[in-house]
Amino acid sequence: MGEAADIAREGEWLIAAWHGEIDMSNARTLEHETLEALRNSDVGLTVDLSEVGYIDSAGIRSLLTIKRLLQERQQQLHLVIPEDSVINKALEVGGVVSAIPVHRSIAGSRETR
Amino acid sequence: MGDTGTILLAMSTRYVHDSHAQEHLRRVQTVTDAALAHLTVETLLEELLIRIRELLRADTAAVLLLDEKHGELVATAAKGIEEEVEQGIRLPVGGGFAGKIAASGKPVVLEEVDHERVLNPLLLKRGIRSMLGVPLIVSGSTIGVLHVGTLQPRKFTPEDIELLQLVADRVALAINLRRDHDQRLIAGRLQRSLLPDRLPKVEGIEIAGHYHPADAGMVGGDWYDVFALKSNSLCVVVGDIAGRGISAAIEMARLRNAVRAIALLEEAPSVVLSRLNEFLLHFDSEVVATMVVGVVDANGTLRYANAGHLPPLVLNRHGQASIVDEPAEPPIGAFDSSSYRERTLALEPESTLILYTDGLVERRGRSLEEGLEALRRAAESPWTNLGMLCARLLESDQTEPGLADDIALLALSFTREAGNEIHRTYEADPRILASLRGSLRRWLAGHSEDLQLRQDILVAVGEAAANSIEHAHGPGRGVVQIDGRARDGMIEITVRDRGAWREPRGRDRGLGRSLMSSLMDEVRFHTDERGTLVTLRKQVR
Repeated sequence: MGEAADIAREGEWLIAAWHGEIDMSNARTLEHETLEALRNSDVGLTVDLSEVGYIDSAGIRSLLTIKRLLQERQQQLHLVIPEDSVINKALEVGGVVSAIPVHRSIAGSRETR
Repeated sequence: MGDTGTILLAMSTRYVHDSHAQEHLRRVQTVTDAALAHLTVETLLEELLIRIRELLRADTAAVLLLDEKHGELVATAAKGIEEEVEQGIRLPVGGGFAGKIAASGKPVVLEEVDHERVLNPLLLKRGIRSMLGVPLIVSGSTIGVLHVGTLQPRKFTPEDIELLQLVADRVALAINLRRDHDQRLIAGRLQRSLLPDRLPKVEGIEIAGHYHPADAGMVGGDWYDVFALKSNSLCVVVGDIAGRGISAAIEMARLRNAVRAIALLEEAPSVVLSRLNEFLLHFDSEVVATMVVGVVDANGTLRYANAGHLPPLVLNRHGQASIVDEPAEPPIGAFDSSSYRERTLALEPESTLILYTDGLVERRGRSLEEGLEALRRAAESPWTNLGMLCARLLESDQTEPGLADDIALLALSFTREAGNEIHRTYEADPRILASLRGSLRRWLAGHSEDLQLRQDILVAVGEAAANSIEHAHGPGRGVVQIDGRARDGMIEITVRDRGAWREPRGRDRGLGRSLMSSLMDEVRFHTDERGTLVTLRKQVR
């Protein structure tokens, strides 16, 4: 279980890579760690879910919470989810894909900043 | 002791017509006595010092051994000046009488002892007037000094020097043999004591580890380790420190414990490796090691990072082996602030992960690529259990007699949950969700080839279980019961608890329920006075 988010910075964007499996045991921790790393001056946040093999409603709620908070602060949220990832379906059903821009790779996410 | 035999023959031939020949032969025989061969090094030193003191009519005799690390000679055995050993006298190489012998590797005669040339205070105090010393030499390098001293002024003859050198050669040989033997013994014991003697037991994971010393039982700096982390995941390590023998085994011990200490605090393998890099550079700039550190959870999800080590080998459920292709990253202890990429491998039920050291694939006259390919092919031949697989892999490379390098090998298999039913009862605690998914994954693997479909069922069951844990019980109390059945291509799983079903409060409510309905063909809720029963169904073929 990857409890820690890998935080990196690319200019005025914060990149948070989540790992492993996300459920009620770790979703809030990831959410808080990611938000704590975000600066007021940041243009946006990319949450990289490339290395996530499982996500349930707890993880989806965390992503939607982050989305709302960033919207209030006029910051952008983008996600990276590879096309062949098994988590796509849950994220679609959970309304994440329609609410948050999704890129298929980190490289792809850079082009739209 | 063939060398001394040869010397004896040479000397006896040379001196046979000499007027002193008989006497000399007697003296040589005194110190080359075959009975001495069976003595321990301590007794041999003792006995030889007594004999040489008598033969040379000396008052003192002493052996000093070289401490290479500090560049000093350490008094190890003495006769007539025993306090030298008791006081642990240490003398610098290069200076003084003994130091000069050690530095030059040549005999030194002092007909008149003076303060400038003798640094050892005990010899001066004792009133030694003349001295003769010779180096202890093993395969061209000096390992110490043997010297004798007399209270009366004395002129040492070439014969005296030759005789003392004969004794010195004998002493050097015995010490070297013993050191070699001790090294192997200690290093072997150390190595064995550090390999985990009981591997941790985790449901659904079968583990086998093997350590194989190089030829003639010579251990080295390879090791494997498996231990449970606080998150109930397993930490797996295979590493390799360059070098052999006791120093490599000691460094390995240090590093292995450092990995354990860091991994308990920092579970992310990439972080463990960069911390370890800091540790090595901070405390010791000489050790460089390659290793793979991984964390496996009950689901068979492996997160790992690789510091310059050979890539993992994965055997899928159909027995096909592949070497995980990955770009190389720097070894530990080589560069400042090395950082490591973390990788994730989802290991399917019935797949096997193999971590190994280079001794398994590197052979003279064969490229690394050829070695890896040979290993990959060997892993694909049939086996019935992990122990057999490991033995097969070790055997496959014995084409050349005499292993140049030691080998550490670690194999983990993710077993499948057989049968048409699965029954599990868990404590109502969020931390059980991962192992619930692990069990379900292994069971579902036997009933559908469709990864996405299995994932859908996992998420739906996970939602039902999470709801039971979050709402049906107070913290730390109660159980969640999972029962699965597969019949005619239909999977039915029930999640039962002893509380009432409640939707999560706040925003995004009903998300769990809508996920279940969307991902499954049928979801039913039944709540009565005993609790809530959620029944989930999905057609899998």
